Amino acid sequence: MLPLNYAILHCYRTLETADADQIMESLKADYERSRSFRKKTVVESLMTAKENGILEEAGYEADAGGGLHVFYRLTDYGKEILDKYIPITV
Amino acid sequence: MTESLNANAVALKRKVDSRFFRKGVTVAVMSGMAYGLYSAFITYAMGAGIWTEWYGPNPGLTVFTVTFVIATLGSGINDTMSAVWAIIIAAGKGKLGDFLRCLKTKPGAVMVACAIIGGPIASAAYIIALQMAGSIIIPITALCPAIGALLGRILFKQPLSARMIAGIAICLCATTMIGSTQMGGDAPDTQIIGCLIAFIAALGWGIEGCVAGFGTIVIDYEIGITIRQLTSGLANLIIMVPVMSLIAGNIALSPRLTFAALTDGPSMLIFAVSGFFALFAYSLWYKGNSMCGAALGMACNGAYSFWGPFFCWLVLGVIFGQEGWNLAPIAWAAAILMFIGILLIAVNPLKLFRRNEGRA
Repeated sequence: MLPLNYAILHCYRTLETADADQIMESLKADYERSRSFRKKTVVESLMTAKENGILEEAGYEADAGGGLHVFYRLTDYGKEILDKYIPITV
Repeated sequence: MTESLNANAVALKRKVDSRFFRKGVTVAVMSGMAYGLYSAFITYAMGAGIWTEWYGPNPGLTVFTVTFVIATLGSGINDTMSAVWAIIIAAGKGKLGDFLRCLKTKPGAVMVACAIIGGPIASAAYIIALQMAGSIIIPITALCPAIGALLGRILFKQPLSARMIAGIAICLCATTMIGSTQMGGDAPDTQIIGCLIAFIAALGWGIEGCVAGFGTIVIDYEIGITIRQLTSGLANLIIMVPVMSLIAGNIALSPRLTFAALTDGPSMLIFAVSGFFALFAYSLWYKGNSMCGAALGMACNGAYSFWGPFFCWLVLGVIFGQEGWNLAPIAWAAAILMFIGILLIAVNPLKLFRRNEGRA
């Protein structure tokens, strides 16, 4: 099993764009028992990755409940970093 | 995915971005404050219990042993106590499994390398310098962002603009100002050597800031700091203290002094406090750098050039009544000037102003 932060980034290899909810849904089976698997953690991880050029924003929308959904996608630099330092086989 | 253009989404997005930016800056500033508190409490710890004897007039040890072995031991105990806190916090948040998994990966190895450069090498140099020259070395070690910028240029071909060079010049001027007041004819010889050793700490942290910045892009900062403090603490106690003892001519000093320090209740309690603040000094530094970019993060953290002397004066001078922690006014002014220089190196004030305008 990958560390949670690695797994969050790796989701973007298969999902072209995704927001925090979609990432959580995709990782739920493996990580739902982990205490650190919380939406706040995932959102902060995504925003940090975006701040450092690993991810870029692909759009955002508000839902009927007043929640915000920010969608991200992997950048070329991000793909290079994942391939070089955290390949899926770690 | 289509971008919603409704006003509610735009307002929410602006609010979320603004909150994230403010949190990043707050975290980075708090890292500098935690660094000041860590400096004050480690100095206090190394003046309590058995350490009073070692740093007293008749320690029964050579000058080399007192200067290097004892100082490295202090750094090692502090980082080990900090690692204990880091493990407790990581366990409490359910991150211990990820900590072990990260250790086996390349970013984990990068963090270990950073821990050795920033820990046994830079932190030991910092503690030795602090013992030899007092809190006056703290602004010197705050040159690490300047060194980081230079290393970034040399190692990673990062841009080095006229603005950044101006900032480095301001930092060097500030260092000279401090030197002019503290290294006069009556200054002890150890103070000059202490200031030189402080540059080793600045160099080590400059490298650490560059390289660990990469590591925390992918590693959770609380896992990163657990790797850092555990590696640093153990490397100091298991490698550096025996090596220093060997150089001092008596390898048997290592277990004897380590055991005496670890079983000294009064100082260990204070080391628990200094280790606690050291944990946040480094973990918030990493987190701040990753949240708002290394440049702004390191600039905010660089405020420890002020917080270090400030908390040494507040904790040791005011609270515990120790004398000699007041700094000459010019040194305070130099610390502030150095902070301005560091800020200029790290951030274009015009860009920062425009960014804030955009977020208003």
